[in-house]
Amino acid sequence: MTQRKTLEQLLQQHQQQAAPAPNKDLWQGIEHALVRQPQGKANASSVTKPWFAIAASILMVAVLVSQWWPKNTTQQPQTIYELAQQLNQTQDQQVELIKARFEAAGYKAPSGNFAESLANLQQARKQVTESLMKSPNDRSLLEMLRWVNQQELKLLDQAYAKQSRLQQL
Amino acid sequence: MQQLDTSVDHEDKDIARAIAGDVNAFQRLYQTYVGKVYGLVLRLCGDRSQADDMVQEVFIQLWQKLANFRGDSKFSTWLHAVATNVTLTELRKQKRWYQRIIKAGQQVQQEADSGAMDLSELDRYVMKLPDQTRWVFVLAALEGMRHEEIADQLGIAVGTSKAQLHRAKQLIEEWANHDAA
Repeated sequence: MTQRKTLEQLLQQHQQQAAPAPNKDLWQGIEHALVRQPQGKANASSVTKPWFAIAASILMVAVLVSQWWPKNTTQQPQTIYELAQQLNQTQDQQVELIKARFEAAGYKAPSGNFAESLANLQQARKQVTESLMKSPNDRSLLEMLRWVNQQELKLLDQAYAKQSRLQQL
Repeated sequence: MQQLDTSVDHEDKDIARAIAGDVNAFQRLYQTYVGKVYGLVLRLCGDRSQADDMVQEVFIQLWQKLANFRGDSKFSTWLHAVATNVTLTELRKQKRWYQRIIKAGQQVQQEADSGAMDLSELDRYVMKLPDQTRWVFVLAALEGMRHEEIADQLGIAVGTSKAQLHRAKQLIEEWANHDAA
């Protein structure tokens, strides 16, 4: 029979055991995001030229979209559902533009697990939007939609970052 | 001692370089601290795949906030505070919609998954605690934060923090005794 353990004993054991480590290399995703979102004061001298060009293009697109977005809504959305539809439209544009920029720079469209996860996120977006149609003023659904959209952009970045790493190797 | 001083000196230089935008210097800081940050984030999340994403988010936000580091405290202390803040903020944001849609109101307890072989026995129990109870236990018992700080961080009363710690200890001992029987 095993001896009963107190919390103190568990804590002692815990301190002696090696800390858990991540299952995969997390740096490449971080590096890619850093390149895409440089610090306020940071210079981007360590960034390779193609990446800098792509990051600059994405930034420019984001600025253009953000400038276009509020001004173009001459008809203010009446419900959160309408706002969600506009968000989706902007999201589609951003996704298409990011894909176009990367593919113009010689990258392939995401495939395998990345493609599957992206499809799942698009499905989630569709489901949330449908739920919003039934509850057109539900703010928590809108929040969820924003989160799903952010994840889609993040995943897209990761998919291209992985290709970049492989190309370097 | 001289070696320690040298590594601290190198770290100071890397911090300065990273603040100036040197990604390689930031990568060295990442390599030094990723283990500690991962342990903290994994325990707060209670989920490995979520912890991976969260650690990336922590370091991305750290990069953005580096210029705010004034050297008033040790870098590791400051990093720990940033990691705790980012993780808890993200977890609370995600929890609201995640519970509502995906789990449809069901309180599903996280089970230690099959990839938990490198976890200590205590960590495996920590993963099973309910969210708020786990956060309080990790911050109080493993990270040594005071109840006042935890209450402030989590937006709860000091008494609630104490009660959650008590509950966590009870649950962990109960599970440990059950497994030992």
